[in-house]
Amino acid sequence: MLLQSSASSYLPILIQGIMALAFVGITMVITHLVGPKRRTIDKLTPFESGISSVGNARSPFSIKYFLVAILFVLFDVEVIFMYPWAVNFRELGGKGMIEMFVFMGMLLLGFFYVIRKGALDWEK
Amino acid sequence: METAINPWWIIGGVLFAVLNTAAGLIWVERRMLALWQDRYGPNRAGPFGLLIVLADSIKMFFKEDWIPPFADRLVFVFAPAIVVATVLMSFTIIPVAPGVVVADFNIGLLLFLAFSSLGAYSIMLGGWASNNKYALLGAMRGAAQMITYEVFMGLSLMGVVLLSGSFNLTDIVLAQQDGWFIVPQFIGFFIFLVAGLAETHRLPFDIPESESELVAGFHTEYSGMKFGMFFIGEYMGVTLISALVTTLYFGGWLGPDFLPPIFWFLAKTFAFICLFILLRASLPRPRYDQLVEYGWKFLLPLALVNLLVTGAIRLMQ
Amino acid sequence: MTAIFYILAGIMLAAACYVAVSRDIARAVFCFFGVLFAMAGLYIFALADFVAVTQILVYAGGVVVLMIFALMLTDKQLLENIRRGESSGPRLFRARALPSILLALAVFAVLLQVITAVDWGNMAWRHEAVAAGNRITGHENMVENVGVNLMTRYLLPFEVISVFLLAALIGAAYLARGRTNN
Repeated sequence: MLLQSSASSYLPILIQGIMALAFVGITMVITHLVGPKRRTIDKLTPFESGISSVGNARSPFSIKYFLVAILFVLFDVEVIFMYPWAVNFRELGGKGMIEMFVFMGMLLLGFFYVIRKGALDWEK
Repeated sequence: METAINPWWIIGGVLFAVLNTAAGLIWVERRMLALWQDRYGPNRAGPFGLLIVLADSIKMFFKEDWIPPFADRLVFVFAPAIVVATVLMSFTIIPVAPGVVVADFNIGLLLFLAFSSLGAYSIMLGGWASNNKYALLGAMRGAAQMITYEVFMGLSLMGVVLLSGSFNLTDIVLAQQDGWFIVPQFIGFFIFLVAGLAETHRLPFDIPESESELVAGFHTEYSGMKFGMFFIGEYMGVTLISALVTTLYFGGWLGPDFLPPIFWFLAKTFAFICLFILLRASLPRPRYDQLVEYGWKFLLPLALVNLLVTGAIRLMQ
Repeated sequence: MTAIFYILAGIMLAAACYVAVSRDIARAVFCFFGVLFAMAGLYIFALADFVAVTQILVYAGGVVVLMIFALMLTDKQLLENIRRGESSGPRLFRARALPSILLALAVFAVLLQVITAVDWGNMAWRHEAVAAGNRITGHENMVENVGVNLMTRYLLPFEVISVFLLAALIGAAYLARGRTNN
């Protein structure tokens, strides 16, 4: 009973999600049925401004992108930990703030290392 | 969750309003850009060119629905659906007027962050599935840009949470009765606005698309209604960010009593949509590396300092 | 509501099986995303809405992005060669997959043992918790509980996490540097 009362409060989101997907699905199916179908040779190759395509599009990328993604995951985890603190800011007071800034300082230390190493500079 | 109005009406109303706003923005944006750039803009179909909305949607419906043979079919079809679904789901947490909210959660703000982080997938998967070099470049840039700004978005919102002590957007609006958060959280507002622009990849930050170098970036291979989904998803994203800025920093539905609360909410949201369009009309596009560096080296420290100062002031009170 | 629970669990299991069996890495990652999303739904049923949001934010929004980036970084030709090398034999029971199948079966046996061995209606800690009034009724603000406990009772683990994140950051910087020197 109690379990239901909590989980069911998420029902509106589920309903909205289903309605959104239904909207997308229906419109896409309609256009698929309504629109014309014309197969031409030109459409069979990827569009590259009229120059014929060379090689595979999915070639390896710069590691920098991957680094940005790693940084994102780490800072995302940090932000997630900060939220429960921010909500209880009043009760935890100055002590909580010091604790949080020790936590954040650790991460910033690593962040400065990353910047000093030039990992975020695109040209290096 | 005590709502005076039937929740089904609210869900339907929100969906209807958001979809129509997004469609209406097709006209609004073109007219406003024309105004600011000293042109006419669309003025042929209907009065003031208003029927361009209809003409545009008919065009999208009757275009060829083309899935390139070199694309990954499943992912190619799913990508545009993700953007529309996640943005529409984010709208559930926004209180339009007292009691008029689809889902009144304790963790409302976190849900918004969660859904907006999923938005990066539509770009990444769309570009990847297209198997086109332009699309893939756009997808990589777009994904890196969106996840970078996701972090600052989360950090900038923290100031609001500190001040109001809640993730619930209704509580946040009510906490602003003595003064809107724009005054103590101006820096937070600025960061949120920049991050919001980057998240919706609107023009100063439309690096995943950037017509002049990548043709259309991640949706180069998309056509018909699938392209339409990206197109409408962008407008819905703009509406969402505007509604959130209104709710978080400008007192939501609060306003003088002579007009109903919902009017104030809609008026403020519309003002921010116009700001988004004005920004598009006036700012040039930065380079990808400039954008990412600006984010990590300037916005991140700024957001942390903002948080520190807000916390310190709040402690002294 | 129970039906939704089973639907979510079903989606999760089906997607997880596809991830395990699929030979197309891109599709596998895409389905893994589905697994994580359905799992977030299950967390909500366990009254852990904060965990559910964290799941979407960090795993579905972050870790899978990382996986897709890794996928884009890898050499496609190399992957093709590996795939072609092992494309003989039936899908599920390749010789190379045998150790992992055995491991999965072993874990499953342990889990089965635990599930059958526990007397579900009569667990000691449950009685203690009920007697002490230490239980969740579903009306508290879960995020506040998490915050207070993290900052007081579990302060040391919390600070250790920051050291852990620091190590990961340094690792990331090293990774990027090693590549650019080449």
